[in-house]
Amino acid sequence: MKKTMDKKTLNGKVALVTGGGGGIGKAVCKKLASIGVFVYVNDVSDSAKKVVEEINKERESKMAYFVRYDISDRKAVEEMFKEIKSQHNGVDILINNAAVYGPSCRFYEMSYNDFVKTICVDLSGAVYCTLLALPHMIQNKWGRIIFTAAPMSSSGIPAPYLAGKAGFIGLAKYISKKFKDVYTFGLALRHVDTPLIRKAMESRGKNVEEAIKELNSKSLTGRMITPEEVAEIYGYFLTSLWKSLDGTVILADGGITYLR
Amino acid sequence: MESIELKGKKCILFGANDPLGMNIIKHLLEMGIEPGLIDIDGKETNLDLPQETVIPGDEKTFKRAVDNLSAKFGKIDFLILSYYFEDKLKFFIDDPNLEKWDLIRERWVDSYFLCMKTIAPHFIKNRFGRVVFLNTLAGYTGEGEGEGELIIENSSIYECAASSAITGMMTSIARQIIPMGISVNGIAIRPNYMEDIERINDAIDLWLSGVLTYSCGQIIRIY
Repeated sequence: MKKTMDKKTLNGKVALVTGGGGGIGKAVCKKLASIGVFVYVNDVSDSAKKVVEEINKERESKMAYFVRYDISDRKAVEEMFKEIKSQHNGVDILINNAAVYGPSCRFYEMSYNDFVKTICVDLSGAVYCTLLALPHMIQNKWGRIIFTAAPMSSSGIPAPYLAGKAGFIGLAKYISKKFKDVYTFGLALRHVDTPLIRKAMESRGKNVEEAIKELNSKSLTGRMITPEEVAEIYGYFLTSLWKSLDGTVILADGGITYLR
Repeated sequence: MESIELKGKKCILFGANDPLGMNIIKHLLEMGIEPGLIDIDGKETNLDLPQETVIPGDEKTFKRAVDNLSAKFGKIDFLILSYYFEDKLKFFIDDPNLEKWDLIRERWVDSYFLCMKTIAPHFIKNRFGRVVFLNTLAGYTGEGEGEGELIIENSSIYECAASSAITGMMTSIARQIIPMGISVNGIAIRPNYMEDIERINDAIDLWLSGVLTYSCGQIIRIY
């Protein structure tokens, strides 16, 4: 039986959040810093730098660090872990959150290059980070890995995106079974109310408020989940005694699945 | 299962030269189905059957292989994707080799994608096609095969990730292509699958037969 943990033990832990520059990633970084975790905010854009500045200002101490590396590039990921190791011993908490949606076309119209680009961010990036985070977690007999996943039942989702998100299920289960001191957890999210989703609607020429209303109507809850709610769920997993959820990926889609 | 319905149909099999692939060929022939084989370069079988080779990650070779077999047969009815099971790689905690992941992703996940991508135009043109994704149970169980053993310490994390990725990819593909009369479903097998050969053959027959073309992206788990 795995050991459970106390909230206090998170203080001073080190987290890496991929895709931490906005939306869910940003909210999770802020949540982690608020419970005493040092946060490495990874992203390829400068937005992550702003998140780091915000956190450090809010916490009035250096709790966050910007690590600008492309996680689809394995050499870059190795460099990122070297940088983290040079400042802290290693990663205790890994949030595999970064993702790109990829081209919204049918799989047979998708170039192989686009397929690879997408799956390398969505899955390879998570695999690289997980593989490099695990040795420290195992050595320290403490580790937590969270995956921002997606529902397998979704229609019209590009093949490499869904492949990447589904890959988390196997990763989570494997780690849960093989390494008794490392807990994994995934949340399969459908629509999250992020600036990115609003921007995507805008770029498709949609009226954002109407499009949001339409998305909300598809949910039995009548609304989308917010990044802050997701961050609370992740925080709960990390700080609770929720050992029975180790290795599971939970669907959180507002009941949409049951409407189809 | 009625073999009459399947007799004379043409089937491409990706991944023939391993015990599972060879069994599938034997079974297809028994059912009166004509197999055309696609294998990774250097892994050709010595069978006297139409055969093409591909290079992982090279889309042109996949297109050429599928087009050549299609030209030879006149029409392709089925595609069975069956990966090379001996290629799974162990994960050593003191040597977390990231290149191993790239290798298994390219050979397994990408190859399945490229097979689907290159055969889809043929199926769409005919408004007919049935696809079987053979996969392992590792994505569900978290028990990577790792050199042929069911559960060993530090077994293949790569297999678990790739296996569940294939399930996700299959789900997406199945939903995109079912409106065109093409069914895509799967079979997930355990490491010591040779004990389940009869059941695997039955599952293949079921998906190819058309009895369940109303199913979309479903997986029969055999264990």
